[in-house]
Amino acid sequence: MLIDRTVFRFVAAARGRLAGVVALGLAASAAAVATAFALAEVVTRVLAAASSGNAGELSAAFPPLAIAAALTLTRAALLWWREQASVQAAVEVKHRVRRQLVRHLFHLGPTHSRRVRGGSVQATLVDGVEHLQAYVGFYLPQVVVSLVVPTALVGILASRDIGVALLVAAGVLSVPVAQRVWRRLLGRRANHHWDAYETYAARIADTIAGIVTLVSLGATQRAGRRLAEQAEHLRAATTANLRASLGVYVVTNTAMGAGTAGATVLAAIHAAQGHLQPADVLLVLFLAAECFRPLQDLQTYWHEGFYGLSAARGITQLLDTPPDVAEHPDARRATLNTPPAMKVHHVGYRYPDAPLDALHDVSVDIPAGSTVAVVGPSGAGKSTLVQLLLRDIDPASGSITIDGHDLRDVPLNQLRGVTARVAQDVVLLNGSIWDNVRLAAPAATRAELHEAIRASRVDEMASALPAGLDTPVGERGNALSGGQRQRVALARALASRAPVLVLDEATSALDAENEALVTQALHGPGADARTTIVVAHRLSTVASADVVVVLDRGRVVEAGPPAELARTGGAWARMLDIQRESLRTAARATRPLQDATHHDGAAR
Amino acid sequence: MNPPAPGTPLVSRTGLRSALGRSWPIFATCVLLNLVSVAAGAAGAAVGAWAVSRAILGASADDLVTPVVVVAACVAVRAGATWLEAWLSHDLSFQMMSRVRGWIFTSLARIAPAGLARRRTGDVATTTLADSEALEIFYAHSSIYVASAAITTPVLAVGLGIVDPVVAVAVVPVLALAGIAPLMLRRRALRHGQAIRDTLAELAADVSENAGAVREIVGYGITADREERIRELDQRLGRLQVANARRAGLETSVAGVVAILCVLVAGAVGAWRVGNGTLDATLLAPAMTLAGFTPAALLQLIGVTRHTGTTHQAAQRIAALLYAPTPVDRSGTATIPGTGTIGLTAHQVGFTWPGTADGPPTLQDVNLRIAPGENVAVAGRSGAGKSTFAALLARFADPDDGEVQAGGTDLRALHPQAMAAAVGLVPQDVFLFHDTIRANLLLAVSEPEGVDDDALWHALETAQIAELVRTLPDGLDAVVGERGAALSGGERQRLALARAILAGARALVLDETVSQLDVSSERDVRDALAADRTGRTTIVIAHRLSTLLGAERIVVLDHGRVVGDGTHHELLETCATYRELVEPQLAALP
Repeated sequence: MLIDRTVFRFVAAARGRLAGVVALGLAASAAAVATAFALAEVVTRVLAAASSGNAGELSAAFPPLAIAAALTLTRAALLWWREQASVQAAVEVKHRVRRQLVRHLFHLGPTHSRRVRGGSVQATLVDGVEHLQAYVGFYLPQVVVSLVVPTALVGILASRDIGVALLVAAGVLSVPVAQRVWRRLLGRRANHHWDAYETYAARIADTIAGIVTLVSLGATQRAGRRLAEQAEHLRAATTANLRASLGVYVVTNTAMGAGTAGATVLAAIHAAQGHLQPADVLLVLFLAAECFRPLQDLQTYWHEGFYGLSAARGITQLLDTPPDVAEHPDARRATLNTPPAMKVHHVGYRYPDAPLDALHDVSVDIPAGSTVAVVGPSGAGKSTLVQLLLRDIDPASGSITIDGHDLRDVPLNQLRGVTARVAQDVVLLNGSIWDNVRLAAPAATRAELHEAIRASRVDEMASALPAGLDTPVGERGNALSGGQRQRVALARALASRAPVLVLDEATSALDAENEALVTQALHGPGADARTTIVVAHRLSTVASADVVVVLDRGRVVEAGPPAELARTGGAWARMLDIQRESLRTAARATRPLQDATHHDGAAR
Repeated sequence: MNPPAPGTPLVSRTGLRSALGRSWPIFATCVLLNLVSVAAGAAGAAVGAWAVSRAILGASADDLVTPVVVVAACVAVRAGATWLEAWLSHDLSFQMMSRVRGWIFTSLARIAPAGLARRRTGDVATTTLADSEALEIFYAHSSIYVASAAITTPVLAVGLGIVDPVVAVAVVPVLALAGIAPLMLRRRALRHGQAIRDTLAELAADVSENAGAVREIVGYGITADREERIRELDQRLGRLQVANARRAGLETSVAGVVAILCVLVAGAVGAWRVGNGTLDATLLAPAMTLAGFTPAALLQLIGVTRHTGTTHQAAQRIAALLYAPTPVDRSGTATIPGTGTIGLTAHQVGFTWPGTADGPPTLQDVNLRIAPGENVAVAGRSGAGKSTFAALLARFADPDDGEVQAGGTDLRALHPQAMAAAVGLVPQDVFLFHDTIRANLLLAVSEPEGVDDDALWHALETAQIAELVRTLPDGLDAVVGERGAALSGGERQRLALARAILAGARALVLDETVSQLDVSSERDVRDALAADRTGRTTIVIAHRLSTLLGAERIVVLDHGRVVGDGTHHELLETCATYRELVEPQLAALP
């Protein structure tokens, strides 16, 4: 049976409704059993009339027939009712689970969604929860019916003929027993089949997702051939397994068939030997099949059970994932200045399973109202520092403070309220540009929002769009270019008037002209009311910062005002040199070629 | 295997026929086995009922030997047929799965990337795979039940007719009810199914948006808002599902009583026939039992028709893909002579992306000649048409006006293999397959067997990524994770660059390929490319001044037109657009 402990926490809330569903299912079965009694009576009376040779006695067969008809109609009504009760119970359960999941998703915070496979949260929250519907509403109640009805019927049969009852009981029992034995026999082999299948499906998904790359490499035919070969290989490898694993399906089916037929035949033999009354033989004939009906119904719900159980496990796993940062029980609102100062004290951090520290003994002073730039090569730890400052993650050692309060002692809500971030991979929410700016500051006036829109040059960009600020940004902002998205995100951050602004590679997708304009805006009016932290590859973005922090391999190699650092000839000065040098050599290299290529190079 | 001819409805007999192809004997065998298994079950039960009746009417135990043997034989036949049918139908479903997915893959390869427009290919992959499962279920399961219902039901009715023709005739209306009930409710079922799916899709879109934007939602404190939206959608979904259950419950209740109804009708008519002496009393119970079996195949059918809505929807989406017009006809056969570097030429090129027709063209009157071996940068503001130009060079789309040539041949005339060998594009968002570094690189060559590790390392070194690969415990055999997730953005870009270098494209188009590298890494990549540029034309699309300055010549695009062409120094003097682009970067240098 496809049940484990994980499912009970979901159904507990809808216990009452589910009990109702079970009661209706049992009532429907009872109607079928009563019908079997009535039908047995019909045939008994017909046969009695036939053997007595008195055709007039035949009319006695019609009252039980009418009763059987009434019972059948009752059963139809009960089944109809049960279906609706099932769905209602399931809807209630799904509703609770979804609410819990959404809440937990937000509770898990930004780091979780980047760790898990894209789409897996959606799969759990939408399809996974939907799979609970048939599982909770139909499969679970049917499990109860399948336990109760055959047991009761075997009891009734035992009162008439113990041999027949034992035969039916053996047939009924063989279904769960066969499933268990089979699972043990096949064990890993059966799982291997499913794993191979899943791997193949994942490979197809991956190949299709990369179709553009395949086209541009001229590799589609090769990839298509390889997929076909793999499918054929998988088929050959799993066919033998399949033959064996289908065995259980056949055994249970045969047990049901043999149980019914065997009981009937045995009853006939007992009747011929005079051990069994005619009415009881006929009862066996019509009742034996009813013992197996709930099991058969359960088997038709097998897929629902299978998906439901694995969905329940997926849901449990998500709900039981602890968030990276937890609210400290003693956290209480801190009194913060506008703008606040932040300090990083000897912070160390290592990602799970990473061989080296991402940050090691890092200390950075971010004075109130200043602009601090963080630079360094890829992998230096810049993004990790940003995540720590915004408390997406907590440091392994050391601490980070805001106006002297450890971030871990400040309520998450407050901390998130005073910070605003513009990330490299900007995500916009479906809606218009205006909606996206407004969501950061629902209480702001139109004038205030327009100010943020102007400062981030969104007005310029929007004027070129068909519907201006009302232009929809599309799913995740896909209708806009990367640079356009970043500008909207910047407007959103400015509109929030958060006193701490963090720009994590926020201008990487802007062209140089726009970048300069945006950088100007950041230093424009209102800049003093903000503490700004800028992470960038491009030195032009950070040259105007108050303080530059150069990170390399998780350590601070130097920090100070950029002009001062340029004079001391350290890491920052070297970075500037490389940039200047590369410009100079590049410019020199082009010079000798300029006459040669220019004239015959351009067709116009 | 090629998809069906355009316009063939997928969920239809012709669709089934073209999907089955050479697999049709398996299909026919499954239908036959289904008939055998239902018939054996019915025969066994009927003979059992006959034995019971004879025993009641005084037969001795010895007289029952024959029926007992027949019943045992029926049980055995049924078991064998069930097993064989289950096995064959799984095999068939496997073949159908691989076939339908093959169609989808072939079609995607035919229309990508222009035909995918702005759809994200990752989403296309997920939806089409889910859809292909629904279609596979139709071909390998539902169709078998439809065929079986059409064949088995009459056979069983005839069997009942042999026992007693009048009873058989009386049962037919009940069978008709079982067959018609789902058809009558079908329209409503489709409507309900549609509404439920639409709501689910809305819910899925909302959830996926929330999951992708947790950072923003939590950061701006709008969680309550978002929770409320999900709650509302979920409630709407629940109401629809309860409404749907009212209809589905009718089907369930018909399915749950139709067999008993058949038995009842057979009992009533049979009793009357026994009374007037036209039916042997021992045949009443067998007739009733047999009647109970006649709707068996129809019940299987009712079981699968519940999914009709899903199947049709899935088929529609797949058909839209299979029968989509070919945006870029790749049936050319020409090749470019030689193996060395080639020049690229744009002649009077004009182009507008499909679906954006109301604006000005994306590119217009673009004339450009890039000499063999030349290193050219393309500059311009966001939206100036740079990436579109790169897409045309790589023949992701064909120009509306004019032509693009490689080595003097119109790209449209080239054989796909020759095209891939001529121009290699490394896009802004590179894609790596969930496989080893080696496999990702070898994808680029037509005969992977002939490539040794030295060639791989050379490509990796040129792209300045060899050092990183050497530090990985598995080296070339390290798996890059889903879409290269184990690597950073800059590392992914360099690996894609190595792949393009290994492909040996005679002209390389780099669309912002180094944008995620820091300045010194970028310089290293550029130097390595320059040192290795033996026989390769390079076109770089870039914002960064340092990248622009690394080129021999810079072409400036603005609003889809070429507005400048020359060296950095020339352009500074002659091209206002260029000056606006680079001056802030020059000024920012201390």
